[in-house]
Amino acid sequence: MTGSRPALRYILTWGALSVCCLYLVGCLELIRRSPAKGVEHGSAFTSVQTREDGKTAADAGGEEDGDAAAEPDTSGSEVVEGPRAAEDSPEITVHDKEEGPAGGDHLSSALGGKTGDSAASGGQGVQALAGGAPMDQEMAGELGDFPDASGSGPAIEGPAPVAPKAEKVRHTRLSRSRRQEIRQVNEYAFWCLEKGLWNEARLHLEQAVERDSLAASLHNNLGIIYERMGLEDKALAAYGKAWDLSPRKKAYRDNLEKLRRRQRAIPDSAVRIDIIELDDQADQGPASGSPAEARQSILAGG
Amino acid sequence: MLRRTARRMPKWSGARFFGIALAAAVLFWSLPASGQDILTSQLVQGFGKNKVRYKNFDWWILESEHLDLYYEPEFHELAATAVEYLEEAYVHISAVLHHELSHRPPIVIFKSHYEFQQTNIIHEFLPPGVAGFAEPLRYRIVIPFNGDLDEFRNVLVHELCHIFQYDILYKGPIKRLSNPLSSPPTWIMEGMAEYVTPGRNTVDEMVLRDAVLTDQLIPLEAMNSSWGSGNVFLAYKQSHSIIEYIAANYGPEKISRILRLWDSQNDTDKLLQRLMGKDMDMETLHERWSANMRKQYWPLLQTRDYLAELGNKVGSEDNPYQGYASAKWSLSGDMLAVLSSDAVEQHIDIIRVHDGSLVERVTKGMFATRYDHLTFGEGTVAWAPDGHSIAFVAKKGPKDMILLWDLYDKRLVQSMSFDGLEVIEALSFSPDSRRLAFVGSGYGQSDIYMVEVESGDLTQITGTPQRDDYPAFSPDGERLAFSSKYGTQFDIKLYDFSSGKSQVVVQSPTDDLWPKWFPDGDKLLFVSTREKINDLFVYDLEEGREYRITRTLSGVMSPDLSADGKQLIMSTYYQGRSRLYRMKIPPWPEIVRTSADLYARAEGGSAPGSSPPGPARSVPGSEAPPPIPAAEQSPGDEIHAELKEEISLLEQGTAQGGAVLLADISGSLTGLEAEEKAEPKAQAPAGPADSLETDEAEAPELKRRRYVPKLEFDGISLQMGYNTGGFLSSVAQLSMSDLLGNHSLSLATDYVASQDISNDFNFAGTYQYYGQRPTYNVAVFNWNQFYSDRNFFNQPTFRRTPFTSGIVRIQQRGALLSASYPRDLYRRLDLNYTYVSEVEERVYPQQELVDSSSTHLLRAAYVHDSITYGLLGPTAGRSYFLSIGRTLRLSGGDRSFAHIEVDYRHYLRLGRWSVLGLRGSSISSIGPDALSYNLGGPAWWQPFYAGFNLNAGPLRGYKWSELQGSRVILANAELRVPFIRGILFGWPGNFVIPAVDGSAFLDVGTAWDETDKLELWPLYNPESPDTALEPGAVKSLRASVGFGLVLYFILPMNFEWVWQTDLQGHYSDRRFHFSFGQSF
Repeated sequence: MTGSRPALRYILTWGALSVCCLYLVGCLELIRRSPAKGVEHGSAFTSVQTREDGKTAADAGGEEDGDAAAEPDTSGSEVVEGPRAAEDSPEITVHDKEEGPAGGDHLSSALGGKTGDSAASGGQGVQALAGGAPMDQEMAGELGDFPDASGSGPAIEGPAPVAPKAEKVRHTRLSRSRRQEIRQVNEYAFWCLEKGLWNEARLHLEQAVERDSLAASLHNNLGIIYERMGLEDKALAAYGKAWDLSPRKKAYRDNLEKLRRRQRAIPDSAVRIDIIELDDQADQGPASGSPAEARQSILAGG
Repeated sequence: MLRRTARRMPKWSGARFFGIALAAAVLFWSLPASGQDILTSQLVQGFGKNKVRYKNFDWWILESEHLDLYYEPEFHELAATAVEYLEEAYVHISAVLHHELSHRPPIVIFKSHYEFQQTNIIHEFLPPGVAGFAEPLRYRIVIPFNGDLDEFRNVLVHELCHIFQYDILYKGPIKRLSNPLSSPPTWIMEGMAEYVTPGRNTVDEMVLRDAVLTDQLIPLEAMNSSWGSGNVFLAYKQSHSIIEYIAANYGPEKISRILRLWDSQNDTDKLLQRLMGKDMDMETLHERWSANMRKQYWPLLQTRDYLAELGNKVGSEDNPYQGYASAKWSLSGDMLAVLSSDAVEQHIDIIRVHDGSLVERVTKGMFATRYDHLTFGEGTVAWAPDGHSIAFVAKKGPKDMILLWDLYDKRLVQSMSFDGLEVIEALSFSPDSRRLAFVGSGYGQSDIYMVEVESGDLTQITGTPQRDDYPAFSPDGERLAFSSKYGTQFDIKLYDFSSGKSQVVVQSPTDDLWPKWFPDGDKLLFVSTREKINDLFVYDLEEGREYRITRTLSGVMSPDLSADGKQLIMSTYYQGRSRLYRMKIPPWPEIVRTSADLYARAEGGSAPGSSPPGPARSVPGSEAPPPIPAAEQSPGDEIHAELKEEISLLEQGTAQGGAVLLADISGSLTGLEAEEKAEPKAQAPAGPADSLETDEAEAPELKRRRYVPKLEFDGISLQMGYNTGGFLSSVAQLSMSDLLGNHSLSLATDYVASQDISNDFNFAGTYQYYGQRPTYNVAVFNWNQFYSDRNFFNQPTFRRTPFTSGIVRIQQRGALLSASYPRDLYRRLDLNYTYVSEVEERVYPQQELVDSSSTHLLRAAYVHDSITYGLLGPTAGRSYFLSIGRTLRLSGGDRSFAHIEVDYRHYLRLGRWSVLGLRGSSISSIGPDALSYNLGGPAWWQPFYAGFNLNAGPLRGYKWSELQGSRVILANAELRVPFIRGILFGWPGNFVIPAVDGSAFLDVGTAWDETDKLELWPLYNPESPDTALEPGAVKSLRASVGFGLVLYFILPMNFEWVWQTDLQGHYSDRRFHFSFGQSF
């Protein structure tokens, strides 16, 4: 037994090393599989049912983080100043990848924020669909840097869109779960856009708008998709609704203005695409080509 | 539908299994005579998946006139039904084969496939495709109930026929062991079993018809190899058809003669000559039969359409192994959720409709962590109508569960499993996506259930003994359409949630399947097997008329309508593969016109549009249906005469008003339906005690008794050998087990002698228990091994003491205790204790004690193995184990050492075929009596090498066991790429080499002792003098690179060319290795 002590040390050392190795491998595996989160097994009804509905500790923490960005930092005031003013509107600022635990990377990727494409959007980071429609400003991290309702943006020719008076708009506060759902819908819509599944994105956003008609981001994003699909009347209505709900959002107003400018510059007949044809081509992706091309056109502003 | 026909897919050949088992046992027991060290064998840790015994079964025996049925009381009614089927089948097969069984066959039935997988009669894992087996040694038949009584009966008949075949060929149980007669070709055995099995469903027809029309019939000479590596499904159908052809053209009595002629004639060509005349051989039979098939099927080309004429194929032809099934539409109709298989991995995928390209892999990373395997049944994937989630079914532990995957979060959000429901299929969401209807199998029957997704409340919708299938919610969510089997065919019924009643809406003498609702809620799309081919029909609920919309050649399965009702996705079988087709649904007027045209075409063709609306089977109360044209009536329709009469009466009754209730059709259903309404929760059939009492009254003629385990012979083997050391060895092995395989006892003796020593008697006995989840093994042994200086295998590394001239005997006595607890299919904990007393003495020329010691070794290991195998062996997944052992020093003579071993393997698929295998392992033996391990050479020479348990590898490019030490570290990386797939040889005999692959590899490792100094870098330079073998020397890591060819024939055979290297530009001369088996 003279060798028992070294042997024990050796066993402990190797055991610890082995456990570390296995742990490391496990961690790497988890990282590799990070998009697919797990199912927790718990109690249930008549037999076994497990649920993971966003109320778990991990997700609750995530919600808290997300809400820290999305939650207005005032209570009771209708017009909120400061960097988080944009969050006062009911919509979820899904574009800021730092603000939420789920899908931020998806979104950022979809918008080109993590790729070389982001250069196309310039320092502002605002993405634009065909026709020059910019998406939500929050994704660029300019949460507090947008003009007031009187507008300090580019001059608008012709009849400028009438900005709703901010003080007349009452923003209904949505529950966290509703905001989470809106965030998810927007993320899914972006995921669809990246895959070239425009019709799928449209249908999901329309469903979401039916449930949450006060979510400005849903209207704005739906407007972008309508515009991309050639449904400009619907796009105008959706942009208008988004701006109406969130008059401090420069991006929404810009989207509306740009579409109107483009309509004036180009005759309707030249840009409108028959919706029936679009339906037939729905399974062939966007009319202008591959998803990558579509995104490039988005980034290039048309 | 494929699920149901899976019974005729791969079946285990009992003879083959027992042959392999016996060979393995003989190999195992013969090893001690050639030099196995029992102690070190206990340090070897293996991988492998687990056969988990989730349930403690309570077995009873039902004795009928000709057989014994083993069952559990909880499904006594099913057992009684099985006995009826078997007795009927016995009479039928006995008449066909002119034979009475010499012994009562034991038939073991399980109430589900997942319980069947837990049988110990075969210890190997039984994959989902196996629908039952019969083994020739003890005439045991083992079969699960798959949810359909007709299918259950057919499998029973099929396997009982095999028992008759064995009895005719081998004349009794166990005699297969001593009977030198080889088995007849598989196509004869399986074709005959299919021949006596009643009915051939439309999927069987579909497969055979496809092979005839696409010229893919398997030549008879190559048929046997199809069971190993070809289209097994087609091989079954073709065998069946050939035997039918022989019976029809040469007389049914020829069928019984085949086996009797085989007794004296083992050549298939000569057998056919004696059976059917001198001008007959396999080639001639194949030509005549295939000509007959072409005459039967080619006329269909005139009146039927290829699916390519009606729609578009989804997916490409690039990968012939990629298959999609059970497609379900997304919200927009741009995507499909599908069951996807590429012959290696199975997944739930989201694909684009227009090109079949992958959009998202739903089940990525879930295998082995979230579930054991996906359930690839009918309709085991569903896309919620709101588009948010996808539901699919997977097996975890002893039963299926429903998993909900959120499309927004891209993650699993919910899992549901249900007490008593083991198999789940045919998922269907309600329009609001809040309810999920499905087919659940448990308690010996399959019924439709509904679960509230939010709350998990379960409701049983149907409760008939026959199968109910394919539920589909109406657009308003108020009704549920489903197929329900009555008699021998499926009808379509509607279940009304408000009234809790069911109503038959579509009836025909053939199967009416897969009802799907059009968005307007007043029409049903369904598949019907009219003319033995699955075609699409539309049933107008308001008009009470049906319209045919296809006359296809290949047939249609698993249709699904898009949300707008304008597109249809469906599966078919074409050119030997399952494929998806997309088809546009025409507007209603065009459907009416198409139906008329199709019927007109079938009748011989009036001008399109000029014929009246097609034949419409009516619902009760509608106008009388036109008769089915005589040409369309299948011969099998006669058997439905009685049923038709009932239906006619039923229609008359309902024509006078009111909905038809299930109760009107079958009085036995009344109670069930009423009970369902009163008690919506899932109800198990009456409990075991109640069932027994009831059944005793109903079937007093059947004697019932509890099963008591009794050991019976499995086999005896005798083996004599002479090894290179000059020793004569005669090994006798006796193995016994109880009928259910829970208890196993093996006894082995070895009489060893040589010209220099007197005889010596070896003995080993092993008892294994598999009846519960943990398995146990106890062994005692007294085993002697002899070595002489003539023995090639006598290596100094094998024993601790230097070899002395003469003959040395090593006597090992002791006991082994081991237990294994499987956590699930992939993970387990192994524990064992080994006591070995060893005496090493020189017995010639004079007796002299060399050394003696004893060892008490305790060892534990945690094992994970979730590797998926493909054509290149391990293809995806990982496996690892951590094994820790320690000896107990209870006396001064006891050995003292500790053992720790880690092995991690990961296989990554690169593209479609190639595999990158990565492995890291480390072994340490620590202490004063540390063991010395060998390293060097390829991996798989060990079975032929004494003391092989102390070998590690591979470290190719180095001499065999060139390095020794108590510590070993080793890393391997190997890229395996396919070269050739399938080489068919016609001489000598027909055989197939399935694959020849290439490999490129890098090995790095070394072995060293505690006193040595290990240097990790630089690596050993092969161009410099090697001083590493000197004691106390610095031991560098050694590396090698090389490439090889792997030829798969029985075992993988490796031809490898290797160079030692230090990875800095220095290389040795090229070396060549040949070895068997996978390198890792």
